[in-house]
Amino acid sequence: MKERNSSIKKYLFIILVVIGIILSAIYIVIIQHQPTKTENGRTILHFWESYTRFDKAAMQSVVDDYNKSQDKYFVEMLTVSNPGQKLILAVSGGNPPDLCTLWSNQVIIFAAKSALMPLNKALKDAGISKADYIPGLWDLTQYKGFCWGLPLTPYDYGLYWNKRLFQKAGLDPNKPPTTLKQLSEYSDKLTIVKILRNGKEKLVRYSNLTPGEKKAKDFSIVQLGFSPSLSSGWQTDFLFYLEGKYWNGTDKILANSPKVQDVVNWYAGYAKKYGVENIMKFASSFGRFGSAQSPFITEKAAMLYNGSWEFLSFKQFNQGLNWDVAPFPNARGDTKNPVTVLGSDVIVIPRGSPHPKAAFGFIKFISSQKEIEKLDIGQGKFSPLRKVSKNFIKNNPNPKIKFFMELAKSKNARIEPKCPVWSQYLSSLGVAFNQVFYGVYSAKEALGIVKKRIQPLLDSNLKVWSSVKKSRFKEWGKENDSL
Amino acid sequence: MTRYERRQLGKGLLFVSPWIIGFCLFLAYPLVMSLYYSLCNYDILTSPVFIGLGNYKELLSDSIFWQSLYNTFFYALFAIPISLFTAFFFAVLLNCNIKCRGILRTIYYIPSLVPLVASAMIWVWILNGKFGLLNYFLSFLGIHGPDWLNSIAWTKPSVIFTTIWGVGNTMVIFLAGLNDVPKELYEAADIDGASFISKLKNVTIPLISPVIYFNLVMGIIGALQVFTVSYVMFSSTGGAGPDRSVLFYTVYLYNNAFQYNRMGYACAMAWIMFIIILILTIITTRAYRKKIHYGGL
Repeated sequence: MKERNSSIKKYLFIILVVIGIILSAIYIVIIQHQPTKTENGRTILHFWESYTRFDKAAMQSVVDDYNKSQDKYFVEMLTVSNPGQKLILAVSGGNPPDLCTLWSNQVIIFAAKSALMPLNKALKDAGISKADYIPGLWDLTQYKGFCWGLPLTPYDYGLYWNKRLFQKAGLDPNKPPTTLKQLSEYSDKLTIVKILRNGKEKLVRYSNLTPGEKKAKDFSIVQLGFSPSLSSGWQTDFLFYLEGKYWNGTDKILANSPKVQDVVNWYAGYAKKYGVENIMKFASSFGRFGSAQSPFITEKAAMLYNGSWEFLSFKQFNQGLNWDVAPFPNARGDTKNPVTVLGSDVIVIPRGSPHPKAAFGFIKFISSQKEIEKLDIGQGKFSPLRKVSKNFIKNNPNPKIKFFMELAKSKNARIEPKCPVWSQYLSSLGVAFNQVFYGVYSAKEALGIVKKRIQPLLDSNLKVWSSVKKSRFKEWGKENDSL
Repeated sequence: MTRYERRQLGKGLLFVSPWIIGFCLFLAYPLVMSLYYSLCNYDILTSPVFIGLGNYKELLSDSIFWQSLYNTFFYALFAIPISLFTAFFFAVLLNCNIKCRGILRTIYYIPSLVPLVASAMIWVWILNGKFGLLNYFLSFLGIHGPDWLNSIAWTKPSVIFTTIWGVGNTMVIFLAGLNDVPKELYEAADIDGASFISKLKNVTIPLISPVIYFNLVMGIIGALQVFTVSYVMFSSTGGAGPDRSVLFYTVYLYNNAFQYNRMGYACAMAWIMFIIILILTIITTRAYRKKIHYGGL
């Protein structure tokens, strides 16, 4: 007996370790495993999206409608910050969600890497086609002949202006600038600076400064008419308004082309005019873009290039703001077919989705006119569909929704280039814009550096694509047929 | 090996097995795989394609790689001595027998407890060109402060400046070292008529040389891997600052891995940084070997 007790004591530790391992395995495999069915036996579809607050509430209401409309599947929505990055890891780890929303400029990158499922056959069977959608928005999700998702909550861009500041400057508050030259002239009238004259500090409109004072730039900006640098993050959009291209669509980077140099020079022109330091000091006194301390909301900037969602910031932070929006001026001064840049959140099915057919069922549901209008009204966005119901505009909280809808239908509505190295290209272009803005390099030098850097990346990417093209198309065809 | 020794060895290994399993799974395996991926064209979503030293060759001709390396070394060259000197200075002062020493030690340590992201956000406002506190205080001295975060010339100094905020940890380690110096040596120096500086130079510094060496090596490793502060302070430019003036090595590595999906390229960068840190640690060890006095002598 004494010997038996001593044996048990001797191996007690080993026994405890083995029990611990078994319990951990049970916990991991059984308890922690993601549930696949609800309590009443419905299959759970996991849906990742990045919405918060009222955007999330709008999407949740559509998800609730879907869950009530049938009893086989249950969509469980999860708010995930930066879903694109997490989706890469989930797909490569073999554990993606059933559905996800991405930004439109991420779709091509994911599609090229076979991280998404093509939807052509499923869309055809569901009777959904290009004819149902605003052309530019449908085009956002097309790549190499396949459709990789459907746009849900689109947006486009325009020129916002402050009517009260226009009136104070002696400008017609209902007539925004329609050409780039007018934009510059209006900006000069709307810009107010603090300058020392005869030993006294005075507030003077920039257009009333003497040529000497303008050249010296020895003033501080109190109110800015316009500067494209206030919309940093979208600098590259301005090329579309000047009718340029960033690449030829196949294999050539056009970073150092005359048109791109023109847009960079135009962008930096405002810095040269008002003084780089003056603009940076002015901009640094404000908070983050779209916050209560942003220059347009605090009425320190009279005009701003921004997206169709911006009315939400006005509603939240400055309801008294007397604003309006118009197409951003383009190089040709074409007001009949204005230029804008389109984008959208896109719903996609990741490769390896546990229930792809069921996931498409949800996509078909949410893309119906009734549900997509409910979603877009809830988020204050316009519908991606050509046809909208009579009450869509009336019920939409965005007072300018009709304007943004018509703008999106313009034949000059543009989308971001579907260049496979667009992420690195965009980053390099951003640096080039700033280098010219700060006067570090000329436009030719800065863009020459971009071309030198990005062209080899594109060449290498195209080389890899040519070697995997056949297998990719075969794989995509197979996945397309499986849906 | 006897049966008893084998059994003892088995028990010992069983005790450390959780650590060994964790080490293999979370350190050794990822390390080996990252070395393999650094030799591949790998974008996470598709299988890695072996390209030999292609990533390393591309890095050598990548101007942004060299710029990020320069920025990192520039930062380390100033941040390490400044933070070491500041931490040592405060540690010496807080080692003196003064009233409220405990409270003062806490006060000087608390800033290092503030999360890096929060402190970076605070620094964005302190260093604001128009309304920042720093320029406000400089104006009392008649100095017109620069636009710290938007001026290409001042972005690196502004990040270096923020390192002073986090010297609490280094200061505490110095304090522990200073407390270990035998008081008899100070008494003997007092008897010989040594001044404060003389005692510092001939007693304190030699006896805390192992602590200085430790903080120096940790400082080199930390400075060359700076990420959070610049990434948050210059978030509008992706952590790069104007004209990539504060694009640090780890930020560029992160961008390559998770923004551009060039995981193989990022792994190559990681291994190059590992080799750089290893070489610098070996150089530091060799250079200070004779100047480090262990065991109080």
